Amino acid sequence: MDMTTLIVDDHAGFRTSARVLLEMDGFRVVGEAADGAAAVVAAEALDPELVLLDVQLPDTDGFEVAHTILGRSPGTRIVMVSSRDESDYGDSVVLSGALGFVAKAALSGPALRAVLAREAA
Amino acid sequence: MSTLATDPRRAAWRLGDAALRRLAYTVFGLCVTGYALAFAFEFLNPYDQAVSWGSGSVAFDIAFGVGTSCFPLVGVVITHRDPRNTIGWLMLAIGSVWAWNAFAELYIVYGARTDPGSLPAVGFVAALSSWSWVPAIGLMGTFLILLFPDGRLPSPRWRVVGWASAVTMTAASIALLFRPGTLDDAPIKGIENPLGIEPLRSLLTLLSVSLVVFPLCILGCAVALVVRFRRSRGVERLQLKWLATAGAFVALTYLVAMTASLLAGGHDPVPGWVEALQEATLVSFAAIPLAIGVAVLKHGLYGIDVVINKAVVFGVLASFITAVYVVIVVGIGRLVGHGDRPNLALSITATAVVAVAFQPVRDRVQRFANRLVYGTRATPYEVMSDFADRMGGTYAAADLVPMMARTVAQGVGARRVDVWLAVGPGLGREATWPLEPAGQVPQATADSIADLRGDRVVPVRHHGDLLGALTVVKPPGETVTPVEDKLLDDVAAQAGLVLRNARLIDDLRSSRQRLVTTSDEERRRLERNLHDGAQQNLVSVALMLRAVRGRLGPDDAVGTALDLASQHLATAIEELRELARGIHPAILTDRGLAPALRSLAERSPVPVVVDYRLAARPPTNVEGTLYFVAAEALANVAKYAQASEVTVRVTSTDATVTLAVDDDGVGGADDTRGSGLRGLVDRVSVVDGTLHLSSPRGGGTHLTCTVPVAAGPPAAAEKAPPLTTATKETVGAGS
Repeated sequence: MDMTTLIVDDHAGFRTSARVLLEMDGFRVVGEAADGAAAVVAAEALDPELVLLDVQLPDTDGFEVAHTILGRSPGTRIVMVSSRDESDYGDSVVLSGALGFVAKAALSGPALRAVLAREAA
Repeated sequence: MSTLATDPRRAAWRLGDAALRRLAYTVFGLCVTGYALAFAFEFLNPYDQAVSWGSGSVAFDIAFGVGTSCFPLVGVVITHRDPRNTIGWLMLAIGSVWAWNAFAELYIVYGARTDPGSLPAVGFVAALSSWSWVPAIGLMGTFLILLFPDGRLPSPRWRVVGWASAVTMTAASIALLFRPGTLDDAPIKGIENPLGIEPLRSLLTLLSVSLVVFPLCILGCAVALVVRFRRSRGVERLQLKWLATAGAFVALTYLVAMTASLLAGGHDPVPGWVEALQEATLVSFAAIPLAIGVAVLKHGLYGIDVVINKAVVFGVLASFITAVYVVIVVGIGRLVGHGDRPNLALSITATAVVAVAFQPVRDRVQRFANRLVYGTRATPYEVMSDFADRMGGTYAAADLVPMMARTVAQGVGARRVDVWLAVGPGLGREATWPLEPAGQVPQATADSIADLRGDRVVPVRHHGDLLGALTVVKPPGETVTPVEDKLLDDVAAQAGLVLRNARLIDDLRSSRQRLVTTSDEERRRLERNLHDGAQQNLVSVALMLRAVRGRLGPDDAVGTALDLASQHLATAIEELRELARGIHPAILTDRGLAPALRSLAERSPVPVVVDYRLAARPPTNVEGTLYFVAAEALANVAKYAQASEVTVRVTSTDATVTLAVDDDGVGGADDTRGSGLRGLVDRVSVVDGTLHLSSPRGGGTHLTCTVPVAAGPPAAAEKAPPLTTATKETVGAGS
């Protein structure tokens, strides 16, 4: 079964591209959110298996959102994305409880699955 | 007369100022009359018969007259200015006794020897004058030094010494006045005492024992003077210094004259120069009343310290030259047997020795005199000359204000000196002395000059414009002396330019800080624009290309072309990301210096250990400065150092944050060559920081950057604002 996915990013262009790409790669995108507050509401309402979460959001940062979502729904898998490099965020990705990080430019179904595979390992 | 002088305050109770002044003028007039008559007799008496002081020449008598006549002169000047001044009356009393003594002695010589029978009551004059040295020397040796400078005892317990002196003096005077037999102290021997009382002989002999106690009283009073000096402060200390200097001068003159007399002992008659020296000692006596006069009337205005300093230097130098001549010309001259005739060769030798040794001796003596007078503090002259030197540009303009604080503190022996700079309508502390442990100036402001506190608050003006102020705090119990006041005024007069410069420098610094702050904000904005705009769009394009590529088969020709396009795009995105990061790293703004440094470390090709020890985030400008220094240092390490490991350490004190970047590479880095580090020096200096590079060849490169953290707003809190639950935008929920 395709993995239900929520895309959180304040750039509409990215959300659209990512949706097209991921759906082609076998993910089922169930929703999009443009800021942290909306992401928390959507995650609660849609209960997706995967949240693709941008680090930089207009109202807060993705790590904070990850923390909140995981607090309410610990089973949710969260992968952080950003157009910056993971090293730009130090150990924040690990500390936030997210499964991993994928640079936006490197986003693809296989890249996501590689991160998700870490959970299984 | 003498009762009035020894107890002047009682007299002052009864008489008004005008009456007291008239009395003083009268006493002074009598003194003048006494001296005038004495000199009249001096010339009436044949020279060879004139007998008074020492060997008895006119020159001696004149010298003696000059020396002692200064007492009534200074006394009348003091009482004219302040009719109730005890010291003034004491001086008048001493003067009138000396005047009486001078008159009486020459009267007796004339009446008893020059023209016997021509003058009446010679015997009575002799009886009333032969003991007068007792009160004359007594008042000088006891009450004058016991009561100087304010006319009061150092403390009530010294009353014993006062009473002992008075009783001793009275007893000795009575003993001598009524002693039967010939008057031993009269200038002509063999005069019977007409006041002698034979039945009281044994009682009077007993009373004359007091003459033995007399020196003890003088010693006691001298001790009182020393005690008074040791606990004296400010003006009183200056006054005592005047007296001490005069005393030392007289003593030195005596010493020189005595040495000369001893050396010339065998000669008869005494050589002229020795006689002149002996006369000089009598004239030097005048130094004591004159010094007292200056001390009482003009203390502080003449800078006693300078006088002492010069007196010591010239006195020692004069003694030095005398000693050289005496030893070489007289001493060696006698040894080689030339007798009395001066030896030209020896004179030339002595001159040469003096010429060669003069300057080194003078320097030594000057240093000694400076230490004696000023202790460890600078002379007022040095202070001003130092200050002028620094104003002349020897030092960086920014250092002048702190140096001014230090110079003033050392010049006036202050416990603390602050320099305030006019800022807007108020004043802000610009420099302080002594320095705080961290070398920082604790921030302080005042609304106006009236709010400043200190033993002295000296405003600094330039062309009538208030530029700032100096505040001086002296050690407890010390006051600012008139000399120090004058020094402060002089410094303040010169300080206008310094403070004007300081204000300009302050303006320049804040302007540079504004520039850096603005530029930092501009960098952040640019980075965000690149990130949010161009980069996001490129990323979207890359994702779309990847999506399209997924629809095409692996060997599709269009697909291959798309792969190529994707690669170029990925490169472009990466380059853009590096560019944005170089402009301003987002992590620095968002998460602070520690994560930013760790991020730098992760990207460094050389392994980096980050040792970050700050508890709280430093101000934004400090974070930015240290980050860029670290980035540049790590880039240089990667390029040149051939290091196997780098340590980046951030530590702090209360007032500073220090970044140290140390590698174990080849060293030999040159900070004068056009490295990117040079550019950072400016940036570091804007936040008043320092940058230090040490790179010995083969010893690694060690860069230290220290920045004060007193100024500047703290960086944003590390935690992001708490998440709001209000829904702002939810797009396409559930599709």
